[in-house]
Amino acid sequence: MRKLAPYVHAFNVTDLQSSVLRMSSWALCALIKREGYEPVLQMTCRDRNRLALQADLLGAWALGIENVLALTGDYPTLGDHPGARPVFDLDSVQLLAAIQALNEGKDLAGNELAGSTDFFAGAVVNPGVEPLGPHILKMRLKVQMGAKFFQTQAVYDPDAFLRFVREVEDLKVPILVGIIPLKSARMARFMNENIAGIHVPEGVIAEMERAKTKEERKEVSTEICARIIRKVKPYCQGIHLMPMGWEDLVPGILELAGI
Amino acid sequence: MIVASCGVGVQAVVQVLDKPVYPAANTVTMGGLQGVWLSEERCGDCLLYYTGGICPHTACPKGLLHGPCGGSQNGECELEPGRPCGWQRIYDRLEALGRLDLLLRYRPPQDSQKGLDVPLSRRKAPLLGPGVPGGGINEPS
Ligand code: SF4
Repeated sequence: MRKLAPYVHAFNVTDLQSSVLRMSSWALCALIKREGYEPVLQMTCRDRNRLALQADLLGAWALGIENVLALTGDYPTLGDHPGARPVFDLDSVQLLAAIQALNEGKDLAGNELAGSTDFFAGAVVNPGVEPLGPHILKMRLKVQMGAKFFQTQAVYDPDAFLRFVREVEDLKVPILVGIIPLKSARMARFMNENIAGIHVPEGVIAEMERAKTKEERKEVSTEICARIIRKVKPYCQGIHLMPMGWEDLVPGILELAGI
Repeated sequence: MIVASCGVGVQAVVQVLDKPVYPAANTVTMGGLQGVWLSEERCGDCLLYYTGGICPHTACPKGLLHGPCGGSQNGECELEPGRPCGWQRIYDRLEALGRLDLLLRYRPPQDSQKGLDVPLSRRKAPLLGPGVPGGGINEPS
């Protein structure tokens, strides 16, 4: 983290991503804050009901955490505790409403609080899914309910992203484009088949295929990411890099992308 | 068309009619005479009017109330191949009825007390109500 800090503005901390057990997101955010860096607290609706979500939000605020990203969350069957009870007492739009309420000094039930929070709330959108219609409507609703920025699912097809941007231009809300460095052609194919909204074009997969050693793959992956960033840069307000273990690529990607 | 039955009846009519179907009843209890529907589930907070007569609690495994999650693609639910995404169905239905505007409305969290015979919206304050320590209820909407 210390090595990456000079290159980034903030660190996203996922909330048991893919329903796999991890340390609480707010706890890691607090540690990041203690080091003097800026965390983005990801919060899903999968594991906590409205009481627990609001309690954690209040606790996060007390620990100095200011940025919250509201997500629905993956279903538990995807993860390492597949029999876990899914909660989804709130959905992501209602979680945004909860954040807005706390910011106004009230809770979701309308009770007055002794003070108020001042969270900067964000939400997510998946610009690569078809049909886009329902996802765009939901994005509009999220803006109405206080989402001040959006982070996207990983983008590999800049043209598809541009089509999406044109549909939501009027919202004038900052969008941070998701970038996941490919580790191999196999990973690209796996994501194409299994992850909604991810479409790695065949040409890009072929590029990864030509790289034989790990070092070569890292190099090609860096080039691919930088190329996508350069293409989407004029149409977005930021980049959300998810290096998934290949953190060492971050400086190179940003440099090559001219950021 | 107005259907004055429980949500199951409303949804059954939706499947055979291309017209808007509105629920006239709010199923709060399974007390009294029970027909062939043996499930315990009823929420007392009927939303079918806003969702084109398709219940988001039963059609979407996450029970979302404001549109699809990011896993909805090509009309399929992210949970398993071949399973239709309930929210895509709701969207298609409302689009056909010219009522996509309903999806831009915020719906407050619902009453989850499925095991109780009196739903929150009918329970009397101050047993549980604003101003009571630990209380607080959502305004019925
Ligand atoms: S894909 Fe559709 S039906 Fe499945 S959980 Fe997401 S919104 Fe619900």
